[in-house]
Amino acid sequence: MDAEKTTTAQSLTLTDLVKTYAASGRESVTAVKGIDLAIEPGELVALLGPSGCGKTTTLRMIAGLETVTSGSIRIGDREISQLPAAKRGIGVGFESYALYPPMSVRENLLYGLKARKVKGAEQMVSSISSRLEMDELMELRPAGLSSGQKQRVALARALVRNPPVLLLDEPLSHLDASARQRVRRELKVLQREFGYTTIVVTHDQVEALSLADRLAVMDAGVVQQFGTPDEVFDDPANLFVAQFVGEPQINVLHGVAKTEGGRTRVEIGSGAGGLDTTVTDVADGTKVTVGIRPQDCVMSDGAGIQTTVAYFEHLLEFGLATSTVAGIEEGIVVQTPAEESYEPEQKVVVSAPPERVYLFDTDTGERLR
Amino acid sequence: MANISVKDLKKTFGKTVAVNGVSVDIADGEFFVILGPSGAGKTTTLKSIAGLVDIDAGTVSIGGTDMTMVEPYHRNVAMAFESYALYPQKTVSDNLASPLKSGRTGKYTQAQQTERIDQVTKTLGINHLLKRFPRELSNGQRQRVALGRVLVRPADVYLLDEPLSHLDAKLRAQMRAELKQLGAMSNTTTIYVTHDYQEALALGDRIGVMRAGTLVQIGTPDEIWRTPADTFVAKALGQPEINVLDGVVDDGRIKLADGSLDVAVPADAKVARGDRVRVGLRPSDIHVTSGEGSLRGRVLLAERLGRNIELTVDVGGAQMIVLTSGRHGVGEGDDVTMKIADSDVHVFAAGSEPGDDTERLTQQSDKSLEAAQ
Repeated sequence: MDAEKTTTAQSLTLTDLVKTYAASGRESVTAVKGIDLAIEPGELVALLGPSGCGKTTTLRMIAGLETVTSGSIRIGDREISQLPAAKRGIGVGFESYALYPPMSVRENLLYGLKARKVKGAEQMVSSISSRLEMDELMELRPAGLSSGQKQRVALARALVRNPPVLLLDEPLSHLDASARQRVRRELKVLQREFGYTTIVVTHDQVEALSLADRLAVMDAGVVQQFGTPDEVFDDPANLFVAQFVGEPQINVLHGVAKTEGGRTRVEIGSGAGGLDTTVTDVADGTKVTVGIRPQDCVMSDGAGIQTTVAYFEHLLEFGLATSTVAGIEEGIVVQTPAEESYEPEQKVVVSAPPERVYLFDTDTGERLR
Repeated sequence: MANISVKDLKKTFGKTVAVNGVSVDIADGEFFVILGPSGAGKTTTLKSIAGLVDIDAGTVSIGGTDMTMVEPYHRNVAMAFESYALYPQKTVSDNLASPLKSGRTGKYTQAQQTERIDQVTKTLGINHLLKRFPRELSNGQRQRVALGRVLVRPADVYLLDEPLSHLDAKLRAQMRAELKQLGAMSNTTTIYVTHDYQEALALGDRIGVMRAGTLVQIGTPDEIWRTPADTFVAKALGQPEINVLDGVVDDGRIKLADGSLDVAVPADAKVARGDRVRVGLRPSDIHVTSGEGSLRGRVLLAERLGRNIELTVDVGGAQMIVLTSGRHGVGEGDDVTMKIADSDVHVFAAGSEPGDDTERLTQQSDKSLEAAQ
């Protein structure tokens, strides 16, 4: 497949990247607080986080649409942080499609190439169009396109420049649920095939987990964790990452760690029982924050947390039981198998595999290992 | 307390037919969900029952009384809109008290008003906002206040239009679970409009799936899930969406020429040898196996979907989605064999083009026929 790739994919390296917005008479705001990311050639990386976390600012700095306060951005060995946007060799597809309404799709795609007097522009556009299977759209005007089609045109426009690095800002946000899944899979197949080093910005954790080779979870201008989808989901670095990734959201309970003979157990509520955990780096009697994913909880007959079912919803493919625990305010949500059913007021014991019982420092939210 | 009977309801706006002959009987105390995409006519149906639009044809009766020509005020229905409709100059508390002060459903003493408001606001988690004005609330909070205004006053019928749509995912899941437990909700006939299939499955005693102004299928969540009337209904429930593959009937099996698909024809399917059909297979019903299987293909993508792995598998040139609970050593580029229980195979008529919807070719079970009558 490598021989078919249109470009030689290059690495993208961000080192201690900082963005501070300063306005006279106002307090300055640091949106991005020193980000380090080393992205491999051909890799698809998602920047994931809530609004205001600094992900779009980071993307805009890479694209050259924001000045860099300090730090470096390199494509391969080439420092680009001080270059104008047009000289960086980066393809950008932004959330708003920004297509010229009076021009056909073909003219939209040719526009930038012709402006830069690129040779063989017509041929490049035709080749991208056939690879994105959008030949039938080429003579239409943007107003006549569905949002999914516009998204594809925006992607094509980023690709015609044959960039070593591709940046996509919320590329799937304008699509309905069913189209979003289809386009997401298509995007991933295309990215693999074309081999571009790609950064996708998204606030949708499902999208980031499924699309990315690795994802950087961001909050408050800082990368909280950078890892593969499996690492981020199964081995969250801190409470923020654990809560931001996963649906239904992870259960967060307050507990006390008990250690005995090298084994750790965490007690929940007032005499409601507790769970074994594989965590070792915690002192006996420490108050901790406990995280357990609803999908990892099991209703058991044995040891665990004594709970009372408050609500039960049967969603056919699975069920969701919300239970209360004596002595604490937080409830526990358990995702139950399709064939099981529970009633309100029913007493059930909830347990989880020890390696899936995560502990976090109650003050800092950092993961205890 | 009241049953609702809608017959042949029609409503057009200019040349657009919004509701095209909707008939449904909803039992006293039933929680009925109308599920459909935007533009299907859900809200227009709801407004027609409330009396907020003049209908072109059909009848609406509530509690056995023909209400078709009755003013909204006298229908004793309470409706919550997706846009919140709150008094901007009144506090949350006064907004909630106003339905109780109208005198429409009897008089309430100050103490009774306080008690009702207290009960509703606690359930909706807005009891700390009573002194605030609507402008001081988030969209999610406003939506809960608007819902509170409906629930605070006893009515014969509650009509709720996407009441949870502006809440974030966590709150939406929590409110969804709590909503059904509300005393008022469990005793009062309720019609609930949504485009979220999980809400429909979780809340509805029955669900009516709506498309282009008509109710395509009415049934319990279980019936709609297990015996969808056509490919549209099948696709309306479940994420990832149900797979729809083309096949040919041969010797009691449905097959693809290259052998990548070979599943049993369901016992009650009305098909003959040589028929071209569509097979519907839900992603969570398909299992990767190391033994014999009825589906074969090559894994194009293996993506993380929460605790599950979502596989995109090329089966005879079509892409099929499979949900697995773990990686099981299955990677991209691998050839896999999959199996599916005979009872999980849905058969639909062949379509003339890929995107169109076609009907189910299996007979409905006796039970669901009964329920539809």
